[in-house]
Amino acid sequence: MFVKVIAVHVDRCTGCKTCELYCAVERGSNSKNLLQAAGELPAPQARLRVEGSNQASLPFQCRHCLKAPCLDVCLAGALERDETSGLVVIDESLCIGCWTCTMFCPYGAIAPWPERKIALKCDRCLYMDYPVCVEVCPTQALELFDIQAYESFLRRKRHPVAAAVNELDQSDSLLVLDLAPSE
Amino acid sequence: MEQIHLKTIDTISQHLLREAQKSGIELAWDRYERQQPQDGFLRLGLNCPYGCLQGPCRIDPFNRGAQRSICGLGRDEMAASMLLRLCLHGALEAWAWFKRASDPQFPEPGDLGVAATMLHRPSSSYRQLTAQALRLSELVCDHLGRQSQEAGRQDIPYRIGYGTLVEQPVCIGISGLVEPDVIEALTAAGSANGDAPVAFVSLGDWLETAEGFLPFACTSGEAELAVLSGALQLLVVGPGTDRSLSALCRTLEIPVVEASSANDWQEVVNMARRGATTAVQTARLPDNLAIRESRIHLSPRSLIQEATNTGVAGLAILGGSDSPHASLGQLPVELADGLRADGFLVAGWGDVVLWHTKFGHTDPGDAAVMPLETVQGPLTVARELLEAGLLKQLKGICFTSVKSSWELTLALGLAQLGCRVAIGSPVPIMGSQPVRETLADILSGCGGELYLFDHPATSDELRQWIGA
Repeated sequence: MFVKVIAVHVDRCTGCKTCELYCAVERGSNSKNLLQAAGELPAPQARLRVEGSNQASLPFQCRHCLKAPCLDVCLAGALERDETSGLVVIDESLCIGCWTCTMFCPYGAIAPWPERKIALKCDRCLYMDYPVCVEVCPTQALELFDIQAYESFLRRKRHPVAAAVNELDQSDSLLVLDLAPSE
Repeated sequence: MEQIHLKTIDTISQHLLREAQKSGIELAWDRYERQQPQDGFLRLGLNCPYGCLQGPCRIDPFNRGAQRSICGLGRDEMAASMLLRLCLHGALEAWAWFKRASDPQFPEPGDLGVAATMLHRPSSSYRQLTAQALRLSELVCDHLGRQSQEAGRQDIPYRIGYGTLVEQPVCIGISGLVEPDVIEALTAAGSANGDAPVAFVSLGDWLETAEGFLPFACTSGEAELAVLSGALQLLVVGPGTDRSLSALCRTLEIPVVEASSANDWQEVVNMARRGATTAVQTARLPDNLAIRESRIHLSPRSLIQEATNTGVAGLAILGGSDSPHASLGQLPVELADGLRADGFLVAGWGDVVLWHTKFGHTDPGDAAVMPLETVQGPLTVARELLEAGLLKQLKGICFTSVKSSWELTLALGLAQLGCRVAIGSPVPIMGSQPVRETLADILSGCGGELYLFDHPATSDELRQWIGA
């Protein structure tokens, strides 16, 4: 089962779209050269998208959901889960470009590529040494995380919260979570 | 820093690169690697970086994202604006860097004003923007060409090699565009009665003195290596000096003096002399350092005459600046070797001809590369051939790489004179085919050509282009 995910340091993403550009070049062009790729037809397409605003931007990739709706709805059997990595990948030779998957993906991570008559999504550069977007990010906002390390990361985030709570006035030490909506 | 042998073909430079690696000293090549990949939108010319403060804007070359800037610029207009912006910058640089005391007037400001207006939320077509860029390049060539008309100048000798760093016990490096009177004052102070003779060396800039150009320790791309050598006791810096040189001097505890702020040059020289006697000499240079000599030909009549000989395939002029895009020296040396083997006469200017000299290509003899004056050299040759109706003998002018905007502007200007010009490193207009076609159309109307590469060109590709 896969253990690496692409995580985003949201505070580091500047929205420069270097990841989109070079994903399109490395994974979508014939030339693998940016300056040549800009003139290629059909235009190369990136497998991730950067969305957001000047205040906050975020690169969106396929989440490789453990219960992936796209897998259930694919009519041609082109979408499959790689047994070794657990990643959801598209077999382009089987894809018929019906784009049913693009409608069912809750994240909009699958995009149609009409010029090539297939759907396109991030496969975390499964067959490459390293994901292109992670490699090219100028601020290292994108990071390849081991799932174990991700848990450590979350624990580091939780720790200061726990410490802050512990510093509260201990005379009123019962922490009540009021879950009922106020009237 | 890996693959040191690919950074430069000079073995002494390779030695110094290893020394830098051992000492953990950061050089331009490290900074270049960390910049990779460089901003794709800017590389394509599909970025309007604060043309107005509504931006910055960019256009997705793959047609999915933004296709227009906030003010409405399309892809072609944005690339053409980028070209015009670079040419405007180049025109300003050319005036600022190459003005002489005899010609301080700003070149015709009208066209610069027109360009600035056009760039203010550009509403002109990409053809008009491109044409204005070419108009500016014509202006630059006209301004630079006037510099070469000063009468009575003889051929100018020069020397290059790391050996110049150790010719004297005291060595002062000079970098940037230092005024001639400053160099004169420095050299006079160095010759005044003192305990140790002082050598003054340039770190890649063509600095003229009464006796010829200041000896070159290195080409411009190797300047950090010359500082790293430990052989300099002091560095004098003028405009255009890379910030990294001053920083490296501070790391190595070499005093740095700004050419514009010092006025007691004798004290500066004495400071260098004290540095030579008190500091532990940690010169990282090996033994057997070479120095090569040649002369800049200000009036290349003999070159032009030879170019018309029937036995010659034609004339090729190679120039440009060192750049970390390619192995230093490899393209100039390989290309000159190949062209001479193909029967071409070769001339060179700038860093390129310094490389030719280092490798003996300018040594007297048949098929020697002829050194030309930086900038004015190719202009003079092109103009004289044009006047004689012999421009067809000039098979190509090749900029192995361009580092400054004025070099790009000069390349465009030479193409407008009717020359075939190639630039061996990518230029940021590849994002628009129509802009490149417009450039090609206008230039072919002048009888010229500008050949652009979408990757750092190899010597074989340039040789093929020249021979075509």
